[in-house]
Amino acid sequence: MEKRAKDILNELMDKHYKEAVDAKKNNIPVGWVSSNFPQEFIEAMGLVVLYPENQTAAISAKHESMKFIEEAGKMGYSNDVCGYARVSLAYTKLKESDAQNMPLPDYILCCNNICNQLIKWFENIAKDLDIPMILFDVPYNNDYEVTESRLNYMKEQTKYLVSELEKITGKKFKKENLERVMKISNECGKEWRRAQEFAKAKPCPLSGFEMFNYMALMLCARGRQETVDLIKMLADELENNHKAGKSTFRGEEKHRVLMEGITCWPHLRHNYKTMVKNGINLAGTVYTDTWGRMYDDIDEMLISYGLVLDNLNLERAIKRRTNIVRKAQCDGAVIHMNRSCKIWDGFLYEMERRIHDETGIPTVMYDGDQADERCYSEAQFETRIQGLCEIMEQNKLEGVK
Amino acid sequence: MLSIGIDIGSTQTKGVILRDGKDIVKKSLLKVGTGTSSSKKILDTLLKNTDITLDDIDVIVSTGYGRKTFEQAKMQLSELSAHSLGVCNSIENVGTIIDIGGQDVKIMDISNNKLQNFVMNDKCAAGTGRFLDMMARVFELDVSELEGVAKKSKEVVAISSICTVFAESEVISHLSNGCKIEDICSGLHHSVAKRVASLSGRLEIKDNVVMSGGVAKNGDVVKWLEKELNKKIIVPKDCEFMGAIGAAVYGFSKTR
Repeated sequence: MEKRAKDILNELMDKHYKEAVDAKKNNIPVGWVSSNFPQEFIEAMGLVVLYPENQTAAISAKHESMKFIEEAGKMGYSNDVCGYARVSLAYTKLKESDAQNMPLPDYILCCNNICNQLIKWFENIAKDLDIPMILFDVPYNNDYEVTESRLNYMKEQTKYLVSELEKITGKKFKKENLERVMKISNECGKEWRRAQEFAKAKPCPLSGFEMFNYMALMLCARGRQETVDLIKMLADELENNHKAGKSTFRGEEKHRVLMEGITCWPHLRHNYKTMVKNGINLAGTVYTDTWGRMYDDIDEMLISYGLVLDNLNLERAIKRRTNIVRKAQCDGAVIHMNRSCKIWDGFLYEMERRIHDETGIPTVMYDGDQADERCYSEAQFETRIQGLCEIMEQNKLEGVK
Repeated sequence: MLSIGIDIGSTQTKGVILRDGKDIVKKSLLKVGTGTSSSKKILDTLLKNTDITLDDIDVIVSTGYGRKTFEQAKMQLSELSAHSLGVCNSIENVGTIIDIGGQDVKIMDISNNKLQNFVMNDKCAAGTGRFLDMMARVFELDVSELEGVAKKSKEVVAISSICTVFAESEVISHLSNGCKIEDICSGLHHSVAKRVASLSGRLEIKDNVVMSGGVAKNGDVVKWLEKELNKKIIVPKDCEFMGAIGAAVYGFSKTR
């Protein structure tokens, strides 16, 4: 039977983790890397790396996070610290997960373009395990664009990055390898954008939650040809579904929403069930939209890493959301006030207000957490989604746009 | 036509029988909420001492946290829509509705008698009816007595804690230091009003602000909220029944 995109996805994710396990057995250094690190350099040097954010998301989605969260509490990490960090730090102590095991690192690569808390998280691991850490420092953008001085700062760091990686791993950096990986990564970004465009079609050719699964692979392997092939396959599947008027969304898609915020992994199933029950599909997700990175040269590549979601100034961040609302023809917005992510939460009240003011759609906000199960109330979520649904129904009846 | 609206909240259960979607035939309130025996008792309580039987009722609609478990309801509605319908059925030209319930605070933006958008409190009981219940217990009062006590206040004591549990400790500390109960009480009402006003700021507060829910019966809270919002607040006569009324109105509109 012909394999579908989601079958190959599972194979590639398993392969990603197996590579690291095999590397450890063969005394090849394994790195832990932050999600939006310029992976082009890593892939160009053929390094074996893992991504703790992928692991912690999987642990949280499979309901194993509380074991680590509680351990992190005993280790001295407050509940106000990011949930991913707490799970990861506790994992380095407990070293065992039923949901997603992975070998401990021999070096750390940290890029703070998504937040500065990452620095402390990764530094603590480096200190606990007595291993080197390389920080790729990406300043926050108060301006709409990445300024020339910020770009130059990042460019200078690439020289240090390469020389340190060569020392730590014993591998040699070659410019032609970087160019090859950049070409592949671009292709991957292009196919991801194509998939995302079809995902926004009306009706959606898939349940919007499914894109989160593919996001894990985009995070860890977007510089590989096999990922390009898979994402192309996904985009083709979505295109075919769209042309045939088919969808993997169960039931009638009555309403389309923008999902704002990091996924509430421990309660994703409840989120999904509640929304499907109300005929609501995720037509646009801010979190998945961020992976369609495309560029023509190294400068543009570095700029793209400076323009990740949490590194945008407010106006640019708002524009990104309102663009998604318009392209995906969203009837409403569901906003996750994620206790773990203070940097994201900090602008959410204003973001909610601006989305409503600029697009006219009703919005709803709910409390949760990306890893800590305790920060969520099912009844609260259900009431708010139902309330939102009732407004969207009313707007539909009245032809309100 | 007779419709019944049942609002099963976190701390109280309210029921209303409505004739032709507008006249209240009977209303009942039980001081227990979702997960208790209230859902079994509320219909009996409503029909008691009337000539009406269950067979005379054309539709029953439930709302509130316990809405899904109320078996006799033909339909259920979120309390957001229910309160909006209830208030707009009672008051004209509503701009904003503020509902302070047992554990929720809701701010609803209304235009042309329709709910346009809403915001609710984060997962915290501070500023809700539960907060006042706990504080009333500390004072050894019934929550209905708080307004009368606060009215005697001459020098309000500020309550700074944002957490209900910590605020309770703060109140006990003030009592131990000899602060007058009426001054602390008014301070508590002020802290509720500040919290609600802060939440309200996330939506545009229009003229014709209406308060619904049990806490609206506390005139001292209403007075403080008027000060914080710099707006006059209308409190309808049956403010704590607005959810149940709205549910009954909804049932009528869907069934006639």
